[in-house]
Amino acid sequence: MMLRSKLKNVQVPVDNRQKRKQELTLNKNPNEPAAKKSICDISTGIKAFAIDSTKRANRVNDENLKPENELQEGTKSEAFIDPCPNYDYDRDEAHNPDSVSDYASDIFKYYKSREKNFRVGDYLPKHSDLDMKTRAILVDWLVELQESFELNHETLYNAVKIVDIYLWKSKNVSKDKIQMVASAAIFIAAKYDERSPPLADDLIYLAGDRFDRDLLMAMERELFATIDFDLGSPLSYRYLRRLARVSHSDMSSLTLARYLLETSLLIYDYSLISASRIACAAFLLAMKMKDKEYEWNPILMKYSGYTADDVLPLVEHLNHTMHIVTGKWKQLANIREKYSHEVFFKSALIPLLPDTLAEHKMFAPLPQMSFP
Amino acid sequence: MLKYDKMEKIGEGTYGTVFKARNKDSGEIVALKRVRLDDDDEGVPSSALREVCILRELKHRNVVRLYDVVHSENKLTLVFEYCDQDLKKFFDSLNGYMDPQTARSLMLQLLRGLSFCHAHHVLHRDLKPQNLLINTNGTLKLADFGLARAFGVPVRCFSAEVVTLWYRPPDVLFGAKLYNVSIDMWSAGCIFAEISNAGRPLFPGADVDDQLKRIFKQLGTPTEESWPSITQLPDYKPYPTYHPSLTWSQIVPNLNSKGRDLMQKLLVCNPSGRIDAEAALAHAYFSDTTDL
Repeated sequence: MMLRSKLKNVQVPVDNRQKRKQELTLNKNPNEPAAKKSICDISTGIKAFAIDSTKRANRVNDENLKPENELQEGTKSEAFIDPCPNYDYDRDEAHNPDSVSDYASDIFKYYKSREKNFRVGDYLPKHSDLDMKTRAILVDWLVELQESFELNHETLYNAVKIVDIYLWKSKNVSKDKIQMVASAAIFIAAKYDERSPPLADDLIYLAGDRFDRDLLMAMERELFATIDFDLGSPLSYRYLRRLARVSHSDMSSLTLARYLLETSLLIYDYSLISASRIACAAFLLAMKMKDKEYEWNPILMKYSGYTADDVLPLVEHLNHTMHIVTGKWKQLANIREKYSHEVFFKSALIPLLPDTLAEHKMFAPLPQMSFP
Repeated sequence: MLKYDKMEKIGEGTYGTVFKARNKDSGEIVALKRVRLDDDDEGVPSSALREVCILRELKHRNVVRLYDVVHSENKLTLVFEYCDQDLKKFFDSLNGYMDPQTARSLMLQLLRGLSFCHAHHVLHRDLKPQNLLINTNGTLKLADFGLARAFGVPVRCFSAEVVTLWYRPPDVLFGAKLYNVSIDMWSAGCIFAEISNAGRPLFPGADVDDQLKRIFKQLGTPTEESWPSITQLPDYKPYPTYHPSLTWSQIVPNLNSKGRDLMQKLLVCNPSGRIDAEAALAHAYFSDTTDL
């Protein structure tokens, strides 16, 4: 793809837009595990799905409907006892400057302390035009943008979070508008984290010219204010890498876990739970797919703060979800196609564990859990 | 900005103009940083967006406080706590002598602010006297986060076009894109010397080449031995083997031996050998109150 990332220091003038459109469509690198189907048809895709009128009543629990400040945090009162006192990953990494070992532990504690600031409640009932499948199509499209612009995965996760916060804090957003919300979300998430964020015109083009610059900029302002000018939400993707590093997992296991975690972004219910907890579930499920004897262990407990009991029900749930997504949501294929590529160790081709929640024909209700 | 009466222009940040202003309701004096947004640019500039996000997170005595953000169609205004002067102006008021107590207090506060940033996943990437504000109580505050960014663990490559030349570490001068908290520690070391000498910059280079020469003439040219991967850096080129001609007590005559020891631990060419802010705060220079 001939995007700005490939044209370093070259400012593309606005009147070159037509030419760039051709470049965008013609100059695809055949070796790149990029999006394969047309990018512009998301609205058609969204419209093709009927609204799910059977929204489940007890999606997580009722407290998600309360405003954030009324929520009581599920804090653990007992003092934390180090389950693995003889192992200190950060001390072992002290020789490696990229590990920022002196601060790593502080930073992850800090992330976890901030999760509550970014918690979203059960927002779909506030949007009569949207359902979980609409959201899933939108996230699938964001994955396509992430690939097209070669963005960091952090940007994708952040953009999904921004969309969720926006939908939690607004109401009656129409299907016609959400693609613009998502475009503006990835626009600001990229500005926060990327060295060369995508250009507005490229984003508008990839959204099928369904809105213009002025609307995108207005949406950017609205989003920025809605998220209270804070883009530093703790990302499950970062927790996952931490788990892989402290347990010295290989790249193929981490990549499989990334496939599972990225797929979890499609699922509305998972947007309501803690980023650190879903990261643990994706990690453990991946490890079990590689080795069914693998167990949650003191090292993982030490670095995540979660016990096996905190994680296992969600692992079972995520495995069931993977069965449903790969079986019944086949048309949302961007993540699966990306992770079927050799670069990603063909992770999406690795067989899932048997579905222990198969009695649920669609998604199972989430297990009860505290937050984070 | 009906809420504020603009008073006078007080400077230019990395992006945008800074004004002194008064809150009409409370009478409080604030600093307004105003960024113009033109129709044909890319919305909020990422430097402004990052500064806002980062300062929303960082609330510390030694980090400038962002009170409010006003975002309209054609401008973005950041409302900051007002500080009387920056460290550079403070130097100008000293007549060439810095009291050792004050020097230590400033350095302590700089490191406290920095340690807080680093523990909260933020690199400043543009530390210099102009970006350190001082209020009437002598409180120092890190400001201008226009080049700052949040980092993950482990860090990945960022831009090498960061930090004002005189305060830029040798690894970044050689084009390193993979750096961590050590980037700010080098700047802190340069500022430490400048504070001790009441405002005389330590390495006032004219360009990248001159900057590296000045550094190596003082610290000695690094070798593969003292800095194993140095030749692998993107813009690496060999420099003559310089041997330091001046001692540290000649360079910073007002600084005691413990201070000089800390300075040498900050000004290490190899980034992995540089002391971090937390360890620097535990240095004997700050614990011994008699020996100044």
